[in-house]
Amino acid sequence: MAQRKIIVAGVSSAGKSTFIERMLEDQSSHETEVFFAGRLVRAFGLTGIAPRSLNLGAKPVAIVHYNTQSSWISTAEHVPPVEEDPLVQALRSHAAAYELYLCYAPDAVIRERMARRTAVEPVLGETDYAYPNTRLCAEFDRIDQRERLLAFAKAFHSHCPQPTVVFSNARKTSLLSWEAFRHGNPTPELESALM
Amino acid sequence: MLISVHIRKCAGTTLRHALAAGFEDRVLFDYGDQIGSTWPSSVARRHSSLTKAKSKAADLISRYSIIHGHFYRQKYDFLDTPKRYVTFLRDPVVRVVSNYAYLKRKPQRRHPDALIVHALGFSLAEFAAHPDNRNLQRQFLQSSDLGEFSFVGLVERYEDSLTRLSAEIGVALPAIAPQNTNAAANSGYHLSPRDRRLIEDLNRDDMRLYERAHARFENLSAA
Repeated sequence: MAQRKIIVAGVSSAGKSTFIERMLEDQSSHETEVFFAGRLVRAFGLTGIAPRSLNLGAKPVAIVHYNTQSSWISTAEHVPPVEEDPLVQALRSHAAAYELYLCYAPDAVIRERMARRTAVEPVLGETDYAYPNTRLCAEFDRIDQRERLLAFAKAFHSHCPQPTVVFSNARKTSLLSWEAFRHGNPTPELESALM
Repeated sequence: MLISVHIRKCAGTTLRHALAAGFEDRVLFDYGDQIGSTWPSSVARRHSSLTKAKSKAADLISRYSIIHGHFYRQKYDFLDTPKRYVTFLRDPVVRVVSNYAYLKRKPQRRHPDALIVHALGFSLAEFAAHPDNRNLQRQFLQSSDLGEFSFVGLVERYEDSLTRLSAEIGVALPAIAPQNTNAAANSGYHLSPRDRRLIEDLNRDDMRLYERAHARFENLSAA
């Protein structure tokens, strides 16, 4: 049976780990493996600009946790476009189809979460070192969250034409269709999710 | 009864202060209709507001000489009294940019028209393309030829317009410093030629309306 490949992407504090944890509640641990972008980059040497291949293991479900806020070739002065990220290129060439979940929260909500957060990926227990609040807040202020998410979706358009947006604010989390997120047409469902 | 339609970001707040000074307690300010928002809560709100206004028709006629605010031009058509309509228009491109800049600098605004900017992070181009924000001046006025209006001022000619409005309504309205403006916009908004063209294309009806208002204003000046 073909492996189910899922990418959960968004900026820091957008809710990626929380969403993945919810997904894991419905899966047994021997069926699913979570791949953090940093680990993939280190394991497969995806630090240069030349496309490299990667492997997402043999379990029936592979979930890739990807932070769109920066990339592995970012510098202090420059965050390159999403499509130039070597990991994005490797993922694109690795499989023909992915399920794409794009985590998004209003900028003000992201800033508030970043300010009070204390640990990196505390939900999934991936690491227990301190969350670099100051650096990530400054980095976040240099980018356009929505623009990077749209660019990420565009990079994977042929792999997943209709991603799902996991929208969260201070009150609740809702799943939005790609069309709703892109165009913001005033439907009762969207208003309820956003207010 | 004077019905003064205040289109968003068209100097209406400045005019509001002038009207308050000129008419004192004979002016009713109506700002609850969330015009230019088709979010369900706004539609419901407008329906409720109209029902309430109709139930107070006699009171409105007896207590007020002017109603000014954000509402569709036809809202007060039900008032059984002679009515004159006045409004101010603005260069449609500048109005859209001003509206977007206003919402960006008001992140605490709890109003559906701000949802796409604050909750979804729309860019200026995305904001301009949203159906609620296209041809907003026409949406407010529900008119393509301004024939219903006895007076149409221009934001770009505010002082001249105020003088003419005073003459039109027979009340000397005081010149008040611009209110609710963006200090950073005094030197003009920075807009790429591409975004300008896009906003013009998205607001063809408003462009025509504005040209008509401009011509009408100049013709009156020449007369």
